[in-house]
Amino acid sequence: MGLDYQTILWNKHKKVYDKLILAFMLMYLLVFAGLTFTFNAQTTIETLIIRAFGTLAVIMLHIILAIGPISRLNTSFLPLLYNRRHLGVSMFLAAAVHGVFSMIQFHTLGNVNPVYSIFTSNLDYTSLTNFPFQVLGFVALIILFFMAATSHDFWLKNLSPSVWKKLHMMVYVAYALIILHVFLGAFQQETSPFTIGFLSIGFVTIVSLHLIAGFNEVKTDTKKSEKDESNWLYVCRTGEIEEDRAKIFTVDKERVAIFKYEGKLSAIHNVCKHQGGPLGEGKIVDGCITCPWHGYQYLPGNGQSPPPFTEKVATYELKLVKDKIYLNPEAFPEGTEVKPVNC
Amino acid sequence: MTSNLRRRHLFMWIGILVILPVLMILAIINIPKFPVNDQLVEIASSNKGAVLKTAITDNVELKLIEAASKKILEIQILQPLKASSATVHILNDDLSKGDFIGQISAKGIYKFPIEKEINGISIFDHIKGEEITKIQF
Repeated sequence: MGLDYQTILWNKHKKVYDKLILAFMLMYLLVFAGLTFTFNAQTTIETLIIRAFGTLAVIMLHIILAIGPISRLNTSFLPLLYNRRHLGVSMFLAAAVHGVFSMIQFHTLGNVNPVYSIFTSNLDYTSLTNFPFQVLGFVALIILFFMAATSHDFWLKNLSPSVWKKLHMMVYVAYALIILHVFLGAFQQETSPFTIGFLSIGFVTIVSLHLIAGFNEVKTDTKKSEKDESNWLYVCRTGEIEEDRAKIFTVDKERVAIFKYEGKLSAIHNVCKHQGGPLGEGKIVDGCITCPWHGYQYLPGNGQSPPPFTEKVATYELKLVKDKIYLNPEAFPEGTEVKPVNC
Repeated sequence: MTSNLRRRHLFMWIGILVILPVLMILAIINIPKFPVNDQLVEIASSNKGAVLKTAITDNVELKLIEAASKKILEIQILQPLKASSATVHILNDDLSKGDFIGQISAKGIYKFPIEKEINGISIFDHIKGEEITKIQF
């Protein structure tokens, strides 16, 4: 969290993850080149580049899409989620190398604009089997470009979190286009069963992970809570929450984070105003609830970001009966001061 | 995530799960059963005739057929050619590339009318400017 925009807000974890991403990409490209020259020595360098970067981008996209649901199913993967942005931009760069080399190889030898050529070299748009698969890849690349280009807090702030989120959810459209691009491309120009085989395994894995995680969330959303005589909801005992950490609790399908700090308890809405990060998975740093995704901070007593920042989230009232924590399900307006409960 | 966003994510993945496999299966069902790329439809449709000469390689099967007093060269591509451009030429007596017959692309059967006697064909990649293969009867 900062007042000015920096190209990258570096920390030691980001540096380690970026080194790992770079090492993975280089290793994959070298292994791919080695296998290609071993088993298909006739391959030209252009074809090698197109295929190596294309497959690398598809693998990275699958990894990126797997991180979200895996972190929901197993919290030890959360650090990957917090550092997903650079992986996304790296994946776009690999896809861009694939796209640009393909365009040069297949569409710059004619007398028309290469982009025009992509859309007109195969006009079999009414066929499912012979549909121009390169168009699908091109549209996916444009979506990935806009996502990579706006992967920065400057754009998040200026586009508004809602528009930014909608733009970045286009990754699902890009994923569908890429799956069809690879499927039809392999279909029309390849005979190897491996391409379709690997693609199918990846597709089934990603969709299964998302559906399992999604239905788990639905189950959590619909879980009934125990109520007391005044309709306050029982959360847990005080001993179940670690110091400076939170318990995430569901109220009317929305999540609330109940934090314990300095012998007090406070409850705020779980969703960070920045990118929708889960505040309850963060901790109290310097007296402020700190979002684990990008470090946005809120005061536990009123859900407001400390001045000069203006973000604020809804707050909730708590009460303690012996060591049992109860929560009033009616949320206060965002930024409302609520006296913490002593525990 | 808010509950709305969680629901949107779930619906999107259910949509992807349904739509993509349906499109893939329809694409497979729609593969032409006999991928014939005819250059002379009326001759190709009457597939009967006497096979005068045949030749076969790993990738290509060649037949010279005589039907209704016309000669037809039938080229069957068994494995895709690893070339973005493939043109077919008559093979001259000195095994050099002769007259242009036609163009071939994906796996399938191609038929071309032949005016004169031929000994084989040369398949040529015009983009790379090199011969892909030559086949003699």
